[in-house]
Amino acid sequence: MKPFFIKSIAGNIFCLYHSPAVNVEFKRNILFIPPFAEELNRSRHMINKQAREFSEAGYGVLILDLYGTGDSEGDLGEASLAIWQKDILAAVSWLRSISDTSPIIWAMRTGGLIATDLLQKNSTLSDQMILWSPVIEGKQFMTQFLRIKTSANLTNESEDGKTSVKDLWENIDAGKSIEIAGYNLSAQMATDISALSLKAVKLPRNLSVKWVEISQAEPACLSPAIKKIVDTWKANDINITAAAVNDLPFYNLQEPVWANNYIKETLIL
Amino acid sequence: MTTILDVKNILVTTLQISGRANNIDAKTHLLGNIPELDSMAVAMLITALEDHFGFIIDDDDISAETFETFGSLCDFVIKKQSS
Repeated sequence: MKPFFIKSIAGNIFCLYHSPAVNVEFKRNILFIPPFAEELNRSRHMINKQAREFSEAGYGVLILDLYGTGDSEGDLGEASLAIWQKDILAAVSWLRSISDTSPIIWAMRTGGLIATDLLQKNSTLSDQMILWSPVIEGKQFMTQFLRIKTSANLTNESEDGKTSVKDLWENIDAGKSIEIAGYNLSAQMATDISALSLKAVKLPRNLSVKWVEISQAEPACLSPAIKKIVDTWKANDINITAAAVNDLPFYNLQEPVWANNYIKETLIL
Repeated sequence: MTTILDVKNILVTTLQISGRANNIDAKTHLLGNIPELDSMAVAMLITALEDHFGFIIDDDDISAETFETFGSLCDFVIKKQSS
């Protein structure tokens, strides 16, 4: 496991490379695109476990902290989609310097929105993706994030008086940044993420996608919203396999839990 | 009624309090009584209810009273489902 920094457009970004196991045939490199804010903190253990499993199967895995997050330089308030996509391109360049083939792009939650948008703009970036419970609508995700602040009204943890989600969106539209659960959310970031949607993205034809979801239903099943997107992508010549597993939604849970079915399913590429 | 069971499952899973599930009934106080139910957990609970039941919860729909007891929370969800 090799920790190092890659120079990117706004500053140095922290990377962790899990080398492929030497006793198996090298398959390919994988680049991990992380989820947003607390979801990343809640998922670190699972991400690294998956990376170790990939490594044992012959994959090299580069885990990236986007600018302003984790151990990378900068503050979240200074980051933007444009900067984050440049970070991804810098990481891909690094992987291209150690391997002939493009990496598999493994993206989690909002990382899925960021990566698919980048693939739309840059279709030769990769021919293979793994999506971990991708967020479908950036705007809805942002509303849920803003709600962390307004919920403080209900639990009397608020110092700001009564703020509604509508008020917060008005502040964002006016270009103001908002502090939420210790994260500095800039108007730029909120606007950038809100503009992304898996329903609208046009992926390059013949892209292979493995989509893994957590389902609480018995038996595990994909939601109608996801099924619809999968069908649309199939109609546009995307080779997509989507699978739902029964497991705990670890990225939403404060206490770390293991989602081993999720990991097992992800290894089936 | 499956809605009440679903709400309990969502509450217990989101707050990770499965050991206390059997002690929760309509009269159980939530806000101020369950230490795991802080503002972050309330936000996550609302999102989980939205995702599971497929409705949108606006700020105007809810107040502290919605989360006063397990019963009041269930009443809210049942009402939201039929609106």
